[in-house]
Amino acid sequence: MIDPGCEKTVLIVEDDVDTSDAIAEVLEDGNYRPLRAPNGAAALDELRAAERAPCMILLDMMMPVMDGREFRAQQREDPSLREIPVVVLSAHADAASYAAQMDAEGYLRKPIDLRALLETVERFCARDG
Amino acid sequence: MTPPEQALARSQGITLRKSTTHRWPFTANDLSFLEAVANVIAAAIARARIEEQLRLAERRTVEERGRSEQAEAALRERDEFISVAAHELRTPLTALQLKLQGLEHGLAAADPRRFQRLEGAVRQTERLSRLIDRLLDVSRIAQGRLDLWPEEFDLAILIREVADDLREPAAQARAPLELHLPEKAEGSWDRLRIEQVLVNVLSNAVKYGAGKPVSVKLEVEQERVRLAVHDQGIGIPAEDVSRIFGRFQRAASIRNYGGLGLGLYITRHIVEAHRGTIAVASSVGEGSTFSIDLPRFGLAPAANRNRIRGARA
Repeated sequence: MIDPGCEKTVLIVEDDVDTSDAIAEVLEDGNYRPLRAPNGAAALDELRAAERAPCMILLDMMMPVMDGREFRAQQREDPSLREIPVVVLSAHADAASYAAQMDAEGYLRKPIDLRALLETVERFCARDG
Repeated sequence: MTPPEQALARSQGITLRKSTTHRWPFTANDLSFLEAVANVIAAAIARARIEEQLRLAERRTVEERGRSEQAEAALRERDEFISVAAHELRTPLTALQLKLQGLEHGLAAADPRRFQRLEGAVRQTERLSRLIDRLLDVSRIAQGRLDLWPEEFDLAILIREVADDLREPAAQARAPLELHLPEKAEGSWDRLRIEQVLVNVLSNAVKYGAGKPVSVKLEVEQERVRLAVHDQGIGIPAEDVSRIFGRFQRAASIRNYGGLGLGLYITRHIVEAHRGTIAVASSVGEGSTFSIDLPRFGLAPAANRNRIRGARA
């Protein structure tokens, strides 16, 4: 049973519109509510304006304006945001060590496998929100 | 016309001559003085020659160093380009794969025929993704950055899983995999990297196995495991055996067998990064045996691997 606390909301922070679209589509198919931000700064704005925190954040690494690393640093400094779990999205072979350095909850290597994406999202959305 | 000459003094190829048309006499002192002069000139010329040779050698060294620096810079640029290109190729592939998988997901029960076609398209995106992975691996190896994430697992189970995944292509190639595995073969290795090695060696055996069974044998010792993959296929000519583990190298003709020529190069580096060895024994027309020897607990398991690995696609 999915906990309604975070209302199955997932924030996708990704600058590539096609990728962000594709992730949002499959999440919608799975009855999730995707929110989208094209970079870290927009994601911080989105989170601070939201009434309820999302269940999790899918975070791309390489983005203009504010990259994933800087976003994560600022998110961890903000007591109202720091508890939201982050899963790193990266095409880089070092995705695992990026995630470890950023103290993220996990990572998904691009190209992202649908099943791995849905399992990951479900795991965090099923938590107490 | 040159007047006739008479040799007066010689030293190391230097000859002082006197024109025979001059009549005044040379004393013994004159001659020994001239000989000394010839010696000095010869020594000066010899020194000049040596200095010239040194200068030439030095210039050659500088030029060669310049050339090898240029070559190294070109290689570095190529590896950086491969890394950037692979990253850029992955981005559209992410969207493409997710969209196809999303369609496939919704279609499964409703329309089996279309589902099958989509499944084929998804398989092709996965294939593209694997090719990109290989290019990235090559650039990582070239930059000396092939990191391992060891964890403890049972190699016999992993071999069974990989053989299961290859069952269909093996059946199509009529080169079934015959497994001779111990009950258990536990050790500490990077699971994904070892899986990559197994996929490479087993699919090579199927690919080059000339439609005959492939034997996969694993032996466990106290400290090590030994894997021998034996096919009865086309084999590798003796002159090619030493280079098949090199980058962009292949022994089989590109006309008959596709591929980037990177599989065994990456395989060797993964095995060596595990402090193991890989070798091949082969004879043309009879087949090849690839032997991989790995220490069982040569690498300590990575600390936070499990938590991080959970979501790896």
